Amino acid sequence: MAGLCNNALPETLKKVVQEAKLFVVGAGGIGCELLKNLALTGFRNIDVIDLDTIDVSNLNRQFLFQKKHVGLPKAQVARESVLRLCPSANIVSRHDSVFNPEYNMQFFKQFDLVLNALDNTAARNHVNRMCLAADVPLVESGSAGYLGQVTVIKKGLSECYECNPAPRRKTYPGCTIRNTPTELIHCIVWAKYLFNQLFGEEDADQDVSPDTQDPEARDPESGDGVNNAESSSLKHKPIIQRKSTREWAQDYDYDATMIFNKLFDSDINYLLSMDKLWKKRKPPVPLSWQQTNADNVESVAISDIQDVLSVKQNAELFSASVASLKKQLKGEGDGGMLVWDKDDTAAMHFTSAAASIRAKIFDIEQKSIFEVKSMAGNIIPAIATTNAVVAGIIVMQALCILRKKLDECRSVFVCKAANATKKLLVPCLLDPPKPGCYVCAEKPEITIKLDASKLSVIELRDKIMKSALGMLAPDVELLDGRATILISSEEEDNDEENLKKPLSEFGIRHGTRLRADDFLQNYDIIVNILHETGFPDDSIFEIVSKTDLALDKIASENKSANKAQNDVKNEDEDVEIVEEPDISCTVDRKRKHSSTTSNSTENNEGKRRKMSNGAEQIDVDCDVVVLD
Amino acid sequence: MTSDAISKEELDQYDRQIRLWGIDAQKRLRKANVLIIGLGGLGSEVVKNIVLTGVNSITLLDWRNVVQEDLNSQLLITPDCVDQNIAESSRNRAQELNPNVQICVDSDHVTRKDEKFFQQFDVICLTLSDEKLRLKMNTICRLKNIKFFSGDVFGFFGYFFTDLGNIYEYVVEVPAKKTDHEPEKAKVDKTVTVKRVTEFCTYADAMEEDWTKRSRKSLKNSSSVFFIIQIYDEFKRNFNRPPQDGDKDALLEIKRKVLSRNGMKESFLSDDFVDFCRSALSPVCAIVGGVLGQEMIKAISGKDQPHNNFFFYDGLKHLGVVDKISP
Repeated sequence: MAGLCNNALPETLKKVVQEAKLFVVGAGGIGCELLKNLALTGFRNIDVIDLDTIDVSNLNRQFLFQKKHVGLPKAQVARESVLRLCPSANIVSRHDSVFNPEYNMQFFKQFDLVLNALDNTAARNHVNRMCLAADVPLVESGSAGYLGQVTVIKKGLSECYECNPAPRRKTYPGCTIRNTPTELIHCIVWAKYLFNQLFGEEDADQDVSPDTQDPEARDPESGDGVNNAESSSLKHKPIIQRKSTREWAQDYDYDATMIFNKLFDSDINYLLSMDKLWKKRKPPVPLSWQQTNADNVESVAISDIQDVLSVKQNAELFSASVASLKKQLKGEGDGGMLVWDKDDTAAMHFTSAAASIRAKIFDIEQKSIFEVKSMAGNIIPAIATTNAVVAGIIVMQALCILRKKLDECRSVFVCKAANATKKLLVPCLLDPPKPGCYVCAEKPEITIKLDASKLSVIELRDKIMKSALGMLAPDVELLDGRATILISSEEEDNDEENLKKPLSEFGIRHGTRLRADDFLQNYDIIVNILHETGFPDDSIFEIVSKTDLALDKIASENKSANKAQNDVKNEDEDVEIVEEPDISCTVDRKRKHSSTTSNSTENNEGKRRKMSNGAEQIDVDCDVVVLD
Repeated sequence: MTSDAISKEELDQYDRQIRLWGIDAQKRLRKANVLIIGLGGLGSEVVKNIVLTGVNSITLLDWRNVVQEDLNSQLLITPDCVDQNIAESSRNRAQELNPNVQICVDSDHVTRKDEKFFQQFDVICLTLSDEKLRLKMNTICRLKNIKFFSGDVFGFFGYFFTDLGNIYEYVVEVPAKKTDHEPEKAKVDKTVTVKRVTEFCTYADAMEEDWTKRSRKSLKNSSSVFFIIQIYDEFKRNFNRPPQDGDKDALLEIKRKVLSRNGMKESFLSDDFVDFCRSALSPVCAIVGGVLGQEMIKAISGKDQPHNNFFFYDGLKHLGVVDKISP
């Protein structure tokens, strides 16, 4: 039997490896490599979970899958494939979401180690919390293109995944998207919104028509954005005013020419009438269907998706894809809708054509369908080799933990080129937990600025507790001495009307303290509310601090003390293992060992930047739970 | 396969990598013919990585039969392959990884192959070798203008060596310089492709380097795995097997000999290595095979700066080093 005679491991470690029980979260790019390494190394008890099914674009790296497996659950096929390699392994596969409440603290407690091979922050946050709650060591990983990262999270000993919160996904102001795009990505976001308006789930935040509330368009004297437009060019009023884009398109049975002329001629003319916008900008040039010389076609042949198409080609692609999506929508029946998918040819052609035509109108450089797909689908390139390296490093950390040498575990960065000290795989000491971390601190606390007279209870729950703080089913109460319950995790306990009311109606004001509790994550946090009015566009709250100042001070002192200890310990080895990596030369190189009390703030800042870099690259391969 | 245009099917299958290295690199890959000598753990990792990318052909050359030990690191075989030829046993799984790639198998001994045999390959990767074979294969590759790699894994440690020829030309993409009159919006990540040249030395030349001439700073960043290779080689010559539990004294004695032969202080290599310098460990094969596979892809596509000329992995320190060792 493989493993039993594995002479690559010292005798003592062999037994530990055989008996260890592991939970592998994700069976994608990193997960496939990881499962193979684990089985060959001699691990015998493995649970693997993945929500996803196999896609043809996985096959260049997820080597446990073949073309015949496309459409099948990843976890199941990965299990069968590894069993061929190693029939004696005991592998349990779960085609499921790791968010499923079945995987509670008790479930996590049965494992000696949890190994993450995930591709999204939400699932990483959740597994981080579950491992903290169950006090099971977690090896966290990620890869993007040539870059990768592995780190070890152990409650009380090292930073948790959320000690350095990931930067929020880049968003664009609504008026840039609707009125004044300057980059291709703005046109692509607009085209995706347009898809949803026409064929998908309508979202009030995804309006594509000219935004008359644009502060820049407003006349400083009258305060009215369309004053001039109203008087001078009434004929360019948008065709639909009260009707939704969807209803309007349905009325015309998705006539591609009509839609084209509305979007690229009338709406653009309307934008032009908001003349304040164009005082310092190059104005857009409206484009009518007739001007494109395009034919209304049912289908087009794209000879090379890497070519940049002409206006005529894009117009024909637009008309063909509208026709095709119209058919798809009809197939969904009454009230049905389509979901945008980068791998659906018609949806992608529609997006690329609409974005390219809009880019042409605004004199923005256009790109090929292939490149638009990268941007629209937020595709992170992924290759077998980087994933193999990352998965190998995960197992090396796992062996280190099982050898009970947690002090020898490292956070390892996989770089594209060696840095100035010859390092390509760069090990860094694990940082101690941040005392002010709003997840792993003894008593987590956070301060949030919001407008209590405007922000509703449901927004508090969905946008703050769930989205920003990563809770699944929060219970929220006021720390008012009476423990007034604001939100219950049991949906039926909530009064629908109350959920819509602003927080102020429940006595929440400047200085109010809330307690939010997530039963599944075994996580509770105190939220300090700072009431403030006048939030800028598109934002309704702001997280001020994860810590208060006193905690910050303790944090930096602890950090220095810890660093000092590490320095002593590594005296002989010198600095080689305590250095920042030099990922693609964008990160300041610095030596952690030089950290002193006086510059610890600066060091924290540098570290934060490094982590945000890491967090970006870590949002990767192998798909377990896709929330976006 | 011979047509130059990339088909829709290939575009779908290789989408995520074409987005990384571009269509031209992919076109070069699909024309390449690769030879892998030695189908142990490291060899099997390299085969997987190279077959997945979509080269034209790969030849698996190994005369050995599968032994129990192989089952701990070789990912292309199954337990029922024991006592059968290891190259032949790897064929089916290799083919499953990518039906577009032609898989060839040769169960001959590498020493029985003539120069003409090697001539058909663009890249040769040698594993499970001793120094004599490394020197010989490197010489043949120089002569025939073949890109040469050789590497091995010993327990928690591993390495590979690269020789892409005296003069190696490649291209890199660098950010385009912004002209003053370009509008602000043109800041979209534009790159230009530039040619670069680098020199490699042979394995024989690399072995000539006098390590006592290295500066303190350079030594501090150098990897002691370079000497573990020599210790392992010597142990295998003496005992005809990889080290295991109980070989501590023998290994330490060889360590003293090797370090003093190279004029190095004994403290340069900590004694901890003895418990971990063994037969191939799967995750180390994955790490070394991953970096090695990527270097072969670079060498085939002629894109991006190669690691010149050694890569070392130290699994106790979790450290991967690229070092130029040359006279």
